[in-house]
Amino acid sequence: MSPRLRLLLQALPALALGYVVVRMLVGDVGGGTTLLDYLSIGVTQGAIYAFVALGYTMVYGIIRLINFAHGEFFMAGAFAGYFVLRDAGIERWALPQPWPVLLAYLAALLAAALVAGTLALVAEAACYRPIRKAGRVAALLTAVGLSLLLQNLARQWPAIGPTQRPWPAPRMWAAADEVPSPADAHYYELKTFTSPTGERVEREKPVVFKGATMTPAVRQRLAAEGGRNVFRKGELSRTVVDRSIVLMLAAAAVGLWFLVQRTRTGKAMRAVSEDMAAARLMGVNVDRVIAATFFLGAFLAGLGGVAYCAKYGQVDPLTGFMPGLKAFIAAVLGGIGSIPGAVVGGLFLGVSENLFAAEVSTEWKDVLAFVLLVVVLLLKPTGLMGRPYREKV
Amino acid sequence: MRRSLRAATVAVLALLGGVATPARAADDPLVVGVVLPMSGDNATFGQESWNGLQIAAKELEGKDPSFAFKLVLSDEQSKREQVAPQTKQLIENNGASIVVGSVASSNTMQAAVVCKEAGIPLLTPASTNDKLTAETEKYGEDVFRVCFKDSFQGTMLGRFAWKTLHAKKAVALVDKGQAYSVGLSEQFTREFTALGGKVETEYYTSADKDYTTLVQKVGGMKPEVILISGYYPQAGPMIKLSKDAWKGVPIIGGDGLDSPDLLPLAGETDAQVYFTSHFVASDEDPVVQGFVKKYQEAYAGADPGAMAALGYDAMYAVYEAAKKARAAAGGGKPTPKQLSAALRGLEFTGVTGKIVIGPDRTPRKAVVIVKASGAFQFFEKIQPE
Repeated sequence: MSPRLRLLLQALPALALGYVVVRMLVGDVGGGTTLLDYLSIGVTQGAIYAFVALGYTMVYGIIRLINFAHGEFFMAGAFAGYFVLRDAGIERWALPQPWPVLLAYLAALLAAALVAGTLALVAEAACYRPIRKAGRVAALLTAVGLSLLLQNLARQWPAIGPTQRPWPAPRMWAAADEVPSPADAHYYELKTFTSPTGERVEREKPVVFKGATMTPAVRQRLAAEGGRNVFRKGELSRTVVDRSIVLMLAAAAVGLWFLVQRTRTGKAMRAVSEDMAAARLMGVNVDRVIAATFFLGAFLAGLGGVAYCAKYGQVDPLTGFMPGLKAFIAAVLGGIGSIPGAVVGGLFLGVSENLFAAEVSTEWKDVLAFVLLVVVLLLKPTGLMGRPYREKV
Repeated sequence: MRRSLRAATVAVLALLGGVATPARAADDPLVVGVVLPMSGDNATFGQESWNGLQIAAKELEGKDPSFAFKLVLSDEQSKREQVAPQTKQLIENNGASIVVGSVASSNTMQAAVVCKEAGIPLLTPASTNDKLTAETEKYGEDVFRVCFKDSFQGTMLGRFAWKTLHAKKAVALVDKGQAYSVGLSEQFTREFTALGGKVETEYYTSADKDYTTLVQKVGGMKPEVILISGYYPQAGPMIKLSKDAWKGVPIIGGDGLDSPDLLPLAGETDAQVYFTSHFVASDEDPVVQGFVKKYQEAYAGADPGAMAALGYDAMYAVYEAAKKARAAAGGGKPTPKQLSAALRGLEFTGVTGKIVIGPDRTPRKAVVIVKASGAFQFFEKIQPE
């Protein structure tokens, strides 16, 4: 392939991607049925895949392990974000929009990333490090086992439980005397009940229905009961969520590039990935570098977890399963071990999946992902951005 | 949080061998095996049904001390492959004379196969798929229900879309992996096309969470009504994602949408959502309000959904059948065969209406149309003709 053709093949998708992202950032796309809308949906979804695929690819790059438990780091992050939003964030603060929501989300993202990262550190130290010398098959089996273990621990842990939960929506509080004629929203009241066993249970009860007129009787009742408990529910708009996801991915990619190429830790990571034994001889603390890689990968997965759940509105112990699987495919598509490859693979998978669903069939969408995987592996075994694998003797 | 805590406790207890209602005096109580999804995707269905069953059980204990029974609960986790072994266990290890469950039709079918082999009657509180009682070779002659069938529900949905919503063009969203979803959309399509409408079908799978493209695509087909044929864990997120794409298009569904989680999953929305169901707590019928009051007292102010009401009615159906069978058997504990015979043609008044189990082992009863906007609001009640 001539260098000029290769450049063209690389530049065209990049330009197209740039165009879609710019349109997403400046205008309202993703709400219609044009090609651009589907592309933007694909880019958003691809960005979430990329967040997860980055962790797969980094860990593989450094110790040649497909970390199947990565989807569970994603899930752990999502739950951490859920608890922050629910207990400390947007369901509790009686503050005006939108800054508290933004702050709550920043806190949730940070918590998610740190919890996922810490979990990965623990998992690495407890499960992967002891068997690092036992060979790749043992490590792979450990990863599968760890994935199942984490899923089922989450199911059994009472704070999480096996059931899916709606993602917290911002509650916008209003005093009873401020409740306007509710043309625009439903109003709820937060009431506390005591169950026969003595538990205190909080419930939202609708008090005023959208489109109804506020009767003096209702107003009076709300005032009498201390209407400080009356609220309506807010929503993050689709465009805000989509834009944040794409911007977050861009920031993460740049940050990661800087970290890997411009810092000592990054240099150490590259060295370990190139040749672990030689790096150790050169005085690199291999264990620490590997732990740092796990932490970073899971950190990104945690961010992806919150993004995913905020977009689709629910979280459960199996949340990480599908995105984890798809991200694995994305990582392989892009060339496992390659950091730009994970981003390219994620975006490529997201876009092709959604274009396929839109133009051909929604029913066969998931089949496509696996067909793509097989085709790419047949034509280019190292993936889209992967370098030819050099067998070490 | 609290609810999930309770669910988890129930699940753990169920794992330890069943939650039992203490039986009185009698040392040989009638064992009622209950298999329900207490956790997983359809958890609110199982939890509500179980709550309803328990309210009825407590009431019966006080009302008729001569009726000695024991409820044994098994959590099928909303997983199809869990149903058959658990049903078997209820029958073989716990000695169940009758099995009550489950909710999702595809899961109840698994239970029916096991019950057929064991010769035990199966009473489902909420599985509406027609095949359950129609395909007797597969599921046997002893499957009963206290709910209506999808042929009735789907027909009513079709008429509602045509007559009340004045829609001419519909899109049906179907999950091929769920017998309920396929059956309901078939019945809807039959009625809606017979009336002169046009239906297009798109597919989704419940393994997926991302319905963005599907939702946009359906919006682009310019339907006048959209049928989400399936369950709330998928319908909720679809409604959430459809805010712009389906603006102003009414969304309809069956009783699979009747869950307290539907609206929290759907978020704050302008969508007009209607679904057919068996019962709605905002119905002003005094029988309904009586049950609502009992339920709120027992479960800290929660409003019962249709599954709770059906669970309550299922317990009463078991009781009435046992009473009838006992009379026929001369006072002893009824055998599964006698229970099955007693369920045929059983008549009683439940909270979901008058229940007369007909020759198709399904009662003919009213369907309630619920408007889901901020809360589940009573819209209309249609009596069977």
